[in-house]
Amino acid sequence: MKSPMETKKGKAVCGFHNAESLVELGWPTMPDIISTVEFNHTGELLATGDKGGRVVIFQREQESKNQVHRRGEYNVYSTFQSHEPEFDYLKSLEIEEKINKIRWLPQQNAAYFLLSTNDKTVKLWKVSERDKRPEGYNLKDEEGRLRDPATITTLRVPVLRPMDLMVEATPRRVFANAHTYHINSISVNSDYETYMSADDLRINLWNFEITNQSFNIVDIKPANMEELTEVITAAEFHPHHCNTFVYSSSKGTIRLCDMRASALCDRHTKFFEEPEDPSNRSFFSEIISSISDVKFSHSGRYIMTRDYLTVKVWDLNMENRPIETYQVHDYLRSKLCSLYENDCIFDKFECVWNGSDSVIMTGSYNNFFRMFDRNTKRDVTLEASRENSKPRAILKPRKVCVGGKRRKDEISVDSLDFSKKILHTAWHPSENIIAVAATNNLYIFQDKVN
Amino acid sequence: MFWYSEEVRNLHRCGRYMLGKGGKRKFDEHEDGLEGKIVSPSDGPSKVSYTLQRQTIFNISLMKLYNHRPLTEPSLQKTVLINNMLRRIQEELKQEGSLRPAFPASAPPAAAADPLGSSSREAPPAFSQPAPAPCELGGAAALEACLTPASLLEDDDPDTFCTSSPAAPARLAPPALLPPEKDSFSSALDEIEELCPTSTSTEAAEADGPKGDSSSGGPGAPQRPEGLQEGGRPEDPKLMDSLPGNFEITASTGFLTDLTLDDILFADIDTSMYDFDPCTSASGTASKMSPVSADDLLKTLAPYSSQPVAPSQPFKMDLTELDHIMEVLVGS
Repeated sequence: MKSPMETKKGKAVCGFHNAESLVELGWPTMPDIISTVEFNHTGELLATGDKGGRVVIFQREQESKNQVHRRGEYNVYSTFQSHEPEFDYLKSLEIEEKINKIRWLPQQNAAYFLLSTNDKTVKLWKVSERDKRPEGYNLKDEEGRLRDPATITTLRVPVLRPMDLMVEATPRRVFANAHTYHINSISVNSDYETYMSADDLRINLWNFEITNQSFNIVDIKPANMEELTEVITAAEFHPHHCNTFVYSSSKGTIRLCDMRASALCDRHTKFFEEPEDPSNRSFFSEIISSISDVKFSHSGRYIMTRDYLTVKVWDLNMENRPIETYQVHDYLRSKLCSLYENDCIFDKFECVWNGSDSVIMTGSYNNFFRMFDRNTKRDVTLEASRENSKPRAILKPRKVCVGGKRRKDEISVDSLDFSKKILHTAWHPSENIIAVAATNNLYIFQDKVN
Repeated sequence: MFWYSEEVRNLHRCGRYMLGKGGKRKFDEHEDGLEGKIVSPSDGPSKVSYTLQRQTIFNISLMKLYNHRPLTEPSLQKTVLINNMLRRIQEELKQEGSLRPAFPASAPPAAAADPLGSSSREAPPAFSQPAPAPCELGGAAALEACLTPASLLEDDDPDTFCTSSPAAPARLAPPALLPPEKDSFSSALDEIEELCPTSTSTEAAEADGPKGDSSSGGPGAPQRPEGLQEGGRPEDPKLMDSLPGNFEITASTGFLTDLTLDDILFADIDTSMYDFDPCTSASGTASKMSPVSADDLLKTLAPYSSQPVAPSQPFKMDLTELDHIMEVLVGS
C-alpha cells in the first residue's frame, strides 16, 4: 500500500459571479490537463483529476466576518497521485493514468471518501485531517533508533499534542481487473453501499467493501465483435432509487434499467430515443447523436443528455422525445466534415444541473461555456479566459457571429479556437458557484453578493 | 511513365496543404461550398457534390482507422463510429449499383481494437482481391476529389490544386472504374489512350470499363492509372454495368481480424489519387489532383514503406518509377 501523501493547505484564488454575468479570477495553472471536476455533496470540497493521474482537492474557506467580500475562497486542501501509468503486457499497450472520473461519497464521519478511476481501475481514497500527534514516546533515542527494550525502565504514555494541520490521502480500496474496455463512468448508488463502473460494453456493480468481485449488470458485447455498432458512453444511478440507473449509447439512446427485474439488466425498462429529424440528416448524423454525458436531475424526475451539438432534457415518463432541447453551438453544423477530420467531433462534453435543476450548463470551444435557464428560456455564453477579463471583473456574455456582418465584440465562427475546449464543468450542489476546467486552468466563479 | 512521376511530384509538393490531425485549427474564411449544405443524393447537379463529399468522408474515415497512436488502445467508441460511417457509405454505394463496392474498413485497427486479443479470424478472401480503393466506386464521384480533405473542399481558392470550385463539378471526372490490379495496368493504359481524344465522352469510358478484377494486385501504392473521364456525370449506371468482376464485400469490420500485411496493402491503400486524365493534365484543366490526397496516401503508406513487399503480380512499371515513389514515401 502506498504511503499516504500529505500536503499542507495552501492559498489559492477565487472568483465571483452574479446571476447575470460572471466575475472571475483565474486559477493558477495546473501542471496537467484537467480531466474531471467534481464538487462533493456539501460543496465544501472540489476535486479535480488530471491527465497525469493526480487528484487535487480544494476546500472552501469558512466565511469570515472580517472578509465578507472574499467569502468562500477555495484553497488547495490535498494533492495526491491517484493512478500511475501501467502496461498491459498481454496486449502490449499502455494504460493511461489519466483520471476519467471522480465521484464523492457522502460524508459519514470526519474523513472524506472519493472514488477516482482511470481507464481500467477504480480506487477508493480516504482523505482525512490530522492536527494532533502523539508525543512522548520513550522507545526511541534522540536519533530515532529503537532503544534496546532492556534499557527501558519506565512506562510513558504518549500525549497528543497539536500540530500543523496535515491532510492525508490513503487508498483504501482498489477495484481492478474488472474491465476489458475503457471505463467512462462511475456512479455511487443512493444506498451508499454499492457503486457502478461502466466501460464501452459492460457495466459492473461493486460493493465498497469487496474488491475481488463485481457483478456484471449490463453487457452489450455481441458474440461476434464484428457486429458491434453501438457502445455505452455514460451511466448513472438514480439519485433516490437505488435499483434504477440509466446508460447512454453512441447511437443517441438512453436506457433506464431496474435491477430488481433481473440480475443482468440487458433488457431495459425504458428506452429513450428521439426520432431523427430528416431535414438535418447528414453523414454525421450518427456521430453527432452520440451521447457524451447523461445526468439525472437532483429531483430524479429528469435526465439531461449532451450530444455534440445539443443538450436535451428528458422526462423519465416520456420516452419518445426530450421535453427540452438546447442548441449549444449549432453554427458548427455546417463544419462537421472538418470537425470530423480533425477529430473534434469526437470530443466528449459534459453537462451539469444547478442545485435547483433550473439552470443547466455545458462547455463549448474557444473556452466558451453555455448556461441555459430552463424557466426563462434565456441562455448565455461566457468565456473562461484570463486574457479577456480582469480579476474580479464581471464577465461579459460572448456571442458567436454566424454569418453576415460581425458586430464588435462578436467572434466569427472561423476564428474559434478548437483546441480550447471546455469539456468538464461542475456546479455547487446548493449555491451559485461553478467550476470550469479549461485545459490546464481551473476557473471558479461565484455569485456576486449584492 | 512520365505522367506518373509528374503526379507524384505534384502530390508531394502539395503535401503541405494537408492539415494536421487534431490540434488547433482555424477555419478558413473562404469556407463554403461543400460543407455549406448537405445535399441529398437526389438533387441533380449537386449529386456530384454529394458523392464528392461522401468520397472524402470515406477516405478520411479510412485514414483515421489507421492513424492512431500505437501506444495506448484506441477509443472503441471512436472506432465503432468510424466503422459505422464506412459501412453506411458502403451500403449506399452498393445500393447505387456499384459492382465494386467499397471495401469497408474491413481491416480496421484490429490489432489494437480487439482488446481480447482473441482474434483468430483469417483475412477474408476478399482481401486477396485488391480492393480498388473503395473510393472510386461510387460511380460519379470526382476523381480528384477522392482524397480531398474536407478543408480543401471548403476552400474555393483556385491556387490550391484542388478542383473544388463550384464550377468544377461539371468538369470533374467521375472515377472511371479502374482496374486496380497491376496486371490490368496495360489495359488501363489502353483505355486512357482511347479516352484521350474524347475527353468528354462517357461512353468511351464505359466501353473500356476497367477490367479490374479478380486477380490479386500488387501493392497498393503506385498504381493503376486510370482513364479519367472528363465531364462530370451524376451517375454511371452504364459504367457500373460494364464492370467486370464482382468483388466480395467484406461485411465485417473485422474487429477480430488479424491485420496482415496483405490486408493493409491491398485493402486500404486508396490509389485513386493517381487517377487522372492524361489528356487534360496536359491541357492543364480541371483534372489536377488534389495535393492533399497525396499527403493522405503518403500517410497511409508511410508505415508500410519500410517493409519490403514482393508484389504478387509483376507490375508493368518502370523500376525507376518505383524508385521514385519509394523515395517519396520514405521521405515523408
